[in-house]
Amino acid sequence: MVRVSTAGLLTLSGLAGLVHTTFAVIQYRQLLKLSQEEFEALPATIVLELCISTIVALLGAYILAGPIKVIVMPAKGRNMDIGSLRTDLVSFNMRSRAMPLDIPPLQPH
Amino acid sequence: MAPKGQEQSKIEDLINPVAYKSNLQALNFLRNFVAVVAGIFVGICGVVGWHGFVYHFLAQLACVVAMFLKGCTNPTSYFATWNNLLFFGVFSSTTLLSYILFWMIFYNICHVF
Repeated sequence: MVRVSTAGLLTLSGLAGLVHTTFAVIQYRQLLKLSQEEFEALPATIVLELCISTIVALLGAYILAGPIKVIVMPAKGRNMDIGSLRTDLVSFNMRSRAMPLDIPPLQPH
Repeated sequence: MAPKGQEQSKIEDLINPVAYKSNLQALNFLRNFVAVVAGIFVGICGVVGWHGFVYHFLAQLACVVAMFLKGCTNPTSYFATWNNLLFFGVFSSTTLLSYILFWMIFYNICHVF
C-alpha cells in the first residue's frame, strides 16, 4: 500500500485544483465563443478557485521542503563526530591495505 | 605569553556541510516548485508580455518569506550569506525555464487552443 503524507496530499490536491481550474477556463471561453462575446476577464469563481488551489499547492510544497538546520557549529559543544566532516582528514579503508607491497609486476606472455 | 591588550584571534566557527547542503536543497526544491505553480497561475490568468517575469520574481521573493517562516531568523546561520538566501536558484535555468514552460503551456491550453 502506498503511503502518502499530508504534505503530499495537499500538493496533489492543489495541483488537481489547478487542473480543474484550467478546464473551467476552457469551458468558459467556449461558452463565450458560442455567445459571440469577447473575453475580458475571468469570472470571480474561477479566480477564487485558482487562488485557493495555488495556496494549497504551495502549502504542501512548504511542508514537503522539510525543516532547515543551523549550519554553524560553535566552539563549545563540538564532539568527535565532526572529524568526518573535515574532508582533509577523512580516511578510507579498503581491501588494498591487505595486499603486500612487494608484489612483482606482471610479465607479458 | 601573549602581551596584554593583544586581541585574541577569532576562532572561526565550523560549518556543517551536511546541514548546509540540506538547507540549500530545501530552498532549491521550494524555488522550483514555486516557479512551476507561478507559471501555471500566470498562464491561466492570461498574462502576456515581459511584465509576466515580474510575477516570477515576486514568487521567488515569497520563498524568502517561507524560509523565514521555517525558522530562519538569522540567514547567516542557515545559508552562510544573505546572497544565498536571496539569489540562490532564482536565476538558474531550471527555475526560469520551468516558469516559462508552464506559463506558455497553460496560456496556450486556456486561451489559444
